Amino acid sequence: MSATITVDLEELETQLAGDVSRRFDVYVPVDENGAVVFRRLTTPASGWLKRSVSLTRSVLPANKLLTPQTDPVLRFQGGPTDYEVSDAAASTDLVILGVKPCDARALKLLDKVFADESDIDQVYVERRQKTVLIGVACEKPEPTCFCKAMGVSPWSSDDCDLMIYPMQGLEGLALKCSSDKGQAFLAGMHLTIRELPAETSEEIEAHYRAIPQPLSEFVGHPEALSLDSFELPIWGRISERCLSCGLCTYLCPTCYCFAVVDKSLGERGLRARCWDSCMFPDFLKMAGGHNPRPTKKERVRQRFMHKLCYTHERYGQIFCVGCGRCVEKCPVGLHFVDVLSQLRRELAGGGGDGL
Amino acid sequence: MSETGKNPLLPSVHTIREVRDETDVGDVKTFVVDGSFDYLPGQCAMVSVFGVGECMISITSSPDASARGRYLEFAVKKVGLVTEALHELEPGCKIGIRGPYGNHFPFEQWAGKKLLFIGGGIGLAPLRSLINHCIAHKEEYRYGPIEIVYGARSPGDLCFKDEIMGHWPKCEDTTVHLTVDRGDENWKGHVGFVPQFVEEIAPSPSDCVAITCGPPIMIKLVLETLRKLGFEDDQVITTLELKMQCGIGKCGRCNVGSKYVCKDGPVFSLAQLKQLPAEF
Repeated sequence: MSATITVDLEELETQLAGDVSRRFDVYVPVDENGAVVFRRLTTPASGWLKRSVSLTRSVLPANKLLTPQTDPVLRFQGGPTDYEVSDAAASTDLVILGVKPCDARALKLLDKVFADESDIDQVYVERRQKTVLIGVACEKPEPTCFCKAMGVSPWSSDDCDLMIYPMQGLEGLALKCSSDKGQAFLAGMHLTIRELPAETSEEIEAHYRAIPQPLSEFVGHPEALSLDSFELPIWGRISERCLSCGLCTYLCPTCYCFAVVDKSLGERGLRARCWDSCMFPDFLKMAGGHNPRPTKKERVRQRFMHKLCYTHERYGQIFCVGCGRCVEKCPVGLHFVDVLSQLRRELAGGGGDGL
Repeated sequence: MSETGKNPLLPSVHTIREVRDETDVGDVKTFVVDGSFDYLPGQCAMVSVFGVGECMISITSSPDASARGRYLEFAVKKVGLVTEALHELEPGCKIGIRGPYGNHFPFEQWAGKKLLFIGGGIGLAPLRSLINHCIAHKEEYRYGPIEIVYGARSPGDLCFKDEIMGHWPKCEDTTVHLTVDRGDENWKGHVGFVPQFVEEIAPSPSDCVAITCGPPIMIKLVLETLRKLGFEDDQVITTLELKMQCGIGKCGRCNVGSKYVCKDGPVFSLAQLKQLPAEF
């Protein structure tokens, strides 16, 4: 199961766009005016597969396809004395191709929230079971990538069902199966498969291992925070520049907070889960006006403490995969990695020097 | 997915059987709805008005009464969008309910103990479920004497008048102490704030559990009073109220430290609360 194989790129492309697309909703990364976004594969131009696997990380994490921004819960119609309510939660057989190892790891973390607890979210679990994840090893990390520091290897197949290694100089496209689901999916495509000798497999790994990721070296290996960090002065200092825009949380592959929102038009309406953000001032504001996190200090602290302390306490994991999206996109440069290094200094007893 | 019933956010639709005004000004109403499910005192449910939204409300009926009468009761104060819409509804109207959510008051652990309930305003709603349950099972759990201290801003703001003035004082070994912040011409009872009143009554902490619920400022001062009276942190039980959206520990809203109030709470001992970051 773990042997590296090669398949013919054109044969795979034809299968995915043909038979597989009839059985699954296939999503692939595409370049739309310089932005990498996941789109449903409908009528692709020839050569799409090679282009898709060569793209850099997407603007939004691939795993957001399982927790969409607006996700219907129920539909209703009628008036207050005769409502008819119908279940609107849906799941489809899904193939996501081109998932980066950071985003795949994020799904493993989200499994802990949605699938590992006593209150299992069956909608999520069913989607997860019906999804085939085809990962792609990182050929060219972004300058803001620091996944290695967070324990993710940019070529690991561990968190996907199948892994593509888009390395040049091989005859065919190198692939690795890493789950029974991946094995069954591959078998269903009836491709011509060539097993690679062990030394080629090692060459591939050596190739990816040698790709530098400078920011990871700068970050080191952050440890989980303890609850004592709640009182550190850093939170007041770093939060001053925050715009409360919520971008960091919307781009984050491990952020999962949502609101439940009702919308109606006349006698018909919809209730949906919608992405929400702990960075928004009203996130925790209650009817009656009480807000336990009234200023940016408490809200910025919540984001970092949740990822670095609370999730670690509850699920045994730091909820950051080092994808670097928040570092790249924060409009005021409130960078996760800067905060990590400031935290390290402050915990070691030194003062902070501001961002 | 509807056939399999897997959607955790899908409520069931219930019909309102009765609406009772609790206060003179009409800001608290108790809704009695048809149908019930198994729950324990302290647990909550997501109550929704379709097209407006959901909010978490404690179940104020006792499990025994719910099971017998096949109903659920929610006492709702009009404070925001959803509660305002609820207050517009009449018997016969339909609302969404899903639950029960959260933990419950650990009444099984209080065998042989005296029980001291301290409530303020609408904070009596979750305590009412527990008080009625404890009274009904007093012999089973060998509870000692039950004391109830309850206050509101004015006599007209006192909720559940049938019980606080009628039923409970008549129960064996049960005492009810009422107080109001401001009296009126007809009020012959105690006038003053709940925490001071507790200090005057000066219940003994020995073999006693204190359970308190009310406005945050009242809870804060009651905790202070209980400390002065010699209550230890694990003898004091209270509930947290935080904004909640999912009720199943997923939406991230009611997160305090590594806990979710909707799942790990709303009931906490003071000893447990002191382990959490003070952000509630």
